[in-house]
Amino acid sequence: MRIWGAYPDFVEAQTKAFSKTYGTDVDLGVIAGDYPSIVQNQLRQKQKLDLVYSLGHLPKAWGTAGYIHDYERFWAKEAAAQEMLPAVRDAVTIDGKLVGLPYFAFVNGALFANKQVLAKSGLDSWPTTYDELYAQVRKVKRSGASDTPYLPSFWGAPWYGIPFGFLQEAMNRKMPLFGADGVPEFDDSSGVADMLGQWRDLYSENLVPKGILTFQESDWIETFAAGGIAYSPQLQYDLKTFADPAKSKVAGQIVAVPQDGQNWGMLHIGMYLIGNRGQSDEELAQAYSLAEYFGYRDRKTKDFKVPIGWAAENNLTQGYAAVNNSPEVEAATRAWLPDADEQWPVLQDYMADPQYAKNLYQTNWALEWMSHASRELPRAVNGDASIKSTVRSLREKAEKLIEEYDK
Amino acid sequence: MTDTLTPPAPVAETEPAPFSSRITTNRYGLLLVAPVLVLTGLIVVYPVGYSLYMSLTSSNPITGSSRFVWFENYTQFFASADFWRSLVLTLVYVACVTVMGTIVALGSALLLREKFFGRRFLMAVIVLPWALSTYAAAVVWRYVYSPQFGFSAAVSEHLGAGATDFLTSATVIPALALVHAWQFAPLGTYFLLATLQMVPDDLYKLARVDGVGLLGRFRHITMPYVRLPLAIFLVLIGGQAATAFDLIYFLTSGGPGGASRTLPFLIYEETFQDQRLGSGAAMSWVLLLVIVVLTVSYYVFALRVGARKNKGEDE
Repeated sequence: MRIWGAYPDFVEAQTKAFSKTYGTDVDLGVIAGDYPSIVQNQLRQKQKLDLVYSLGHLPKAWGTAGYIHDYERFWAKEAAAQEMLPAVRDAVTIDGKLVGLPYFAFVNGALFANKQVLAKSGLDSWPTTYDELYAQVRKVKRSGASDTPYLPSFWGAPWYGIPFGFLQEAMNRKMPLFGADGVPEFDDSSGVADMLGQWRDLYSENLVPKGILTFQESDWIETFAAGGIAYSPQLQYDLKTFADPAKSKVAGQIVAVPQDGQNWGMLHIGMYLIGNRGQSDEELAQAYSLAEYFGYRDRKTKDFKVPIGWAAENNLTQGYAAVNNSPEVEAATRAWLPDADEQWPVLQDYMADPQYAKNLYQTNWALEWMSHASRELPRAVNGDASIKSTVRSLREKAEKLIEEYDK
Repeated sequence: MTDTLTPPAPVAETEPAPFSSRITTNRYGLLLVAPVLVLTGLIVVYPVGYSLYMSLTSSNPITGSSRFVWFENYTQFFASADFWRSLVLTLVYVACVTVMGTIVALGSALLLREKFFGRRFLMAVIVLPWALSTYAAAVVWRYVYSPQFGFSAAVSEHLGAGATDFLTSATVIPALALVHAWQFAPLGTYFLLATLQMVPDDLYKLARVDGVGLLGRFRHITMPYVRLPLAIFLVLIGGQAATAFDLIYFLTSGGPGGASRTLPFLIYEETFQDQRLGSGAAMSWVLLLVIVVLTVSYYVFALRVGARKNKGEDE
């Protein structure tokens, strides 16, 4: 089993429990750095990877290349799919086949607000659109309550950075992005160009923290946790970090902004995929068994053991309503929320019908397009490239990749 | 009188000649180096040859397509602005690292040659950056450069300049080069210090008596001694800078917006992120050529200057 470096102790404890219960040893390894590239190469080399983490934009290509097994022969396939949240089921089903079991499901870009900064600036209503949000951000700065009131959705450097911010804001604004088979529906005169223009203004007016284009994930979290930011689209699961006084100076001050007419953020899904190294049926069954334990129910007790552990201990919400709305998870989450009665329904609403970039993610070239976007978008923000040329480059790249991969 | 008989000579117990005497010297030598040859073939010659072959192919592991394209990969990236931009960034980075690293290494070596209180302690401390892993160094410098929590931001704010971002597209290359030089310079310091300790003190004393100034002593006494080790250090640090990847990956991931996307980083993206193995291999060959040209240039420059100097002294 190969994972990225999130809570390795928790995962190790679960693998040990699995080994004890089912008598199968699990070789657990943590991959640091550029996870998709490293795992992709390991899968290509047919290394012994039975279970790997993945984000939603990877399994289509890996399935096409024959790097992974689908779950069509998994004994609990139908039951698991039936229990999944509809958006999650949609995300883990590619070309009609179940390709993964959910490792997590939450909103990336959930709009968090710092009540203290907002109170200082005299704001008393929530923004309902990005235009309103940016207008409020300017008001906060003018009021002197904060010098850099907005921390955008991860404009930073790594592979999981700015492209996600781009997709999520464009989708929230209902701007056309990708049609069927990933055909780009945007060009340099469409809404995304205006959106990037707004991003550049935020940057040039110093409404966002300095150095943001080279932020790593830890900088993003630390900057928000240090205080002084009014609004920030964040990973929903980091709410627990911001509520922890040992890690955050804003504990008790962070709330999720309610959705009113548009979504804030998009579905972010992690999956358990099974590597295809030509293993026997017996080995495949073992891999399914491990995946079932982690990504669905414990076969012996029928409990969502690991998923509830993830959600209740680490706020890593899951692809199953039965987990996210369970008494254990609700009680744990309420303890992290400053206004639990008000905020718990807001968080549930975020997960009720999240948007998902399915038309892009379920192409063979999503990873390559995202890598390209991660290099191009910062140049539009800091003015190194014109906005129109950046949007053209994003579109042309998609067209070129379609041509190449469809050949 | 009868002839006496000579007793028969004892039969010597002859041992078989050793194996090395039974084969020719050349064959024996070849046998001795054979394991190394095989190993070198497996881990150097084969991969290098295979990468050359790969650079002439175009493959896509996702779709499974693969074809021989001759020099198409080379012509494609030679026509790409991204490649030339990365090449220029690489050269600027190498120049910055080399200059900064040399200044720090030579300066530290000259300082440590002097006798002063705490010299031994400083000699031990100065090696610490070199002993750090690149990842650890990058983490340290992330906090030095951070405009939010960083040391440099605190200093610039204290000076009234406000928090400064040192990793903008205009400053990121020198900022990265400074970290690289900081980490690599201790090697040069030790290299040069070892040579400087061989320079007789009397030479400096005589020069002082002759009224030769500080710069003159450096030029006419120190430099002839350190020229060759300095050339070796320049080659080492230049080659290291030309292939630097980890520091850039950890500190900026090639950003902001590709402003620190040097050639090794571009090769990494091409090969491992985009899985364009042919194109990545072709770029690697160009990078190899760049390094060879840089290395040869350093040596030629250093040796020519040395030869000219010696000729001048002889005349």
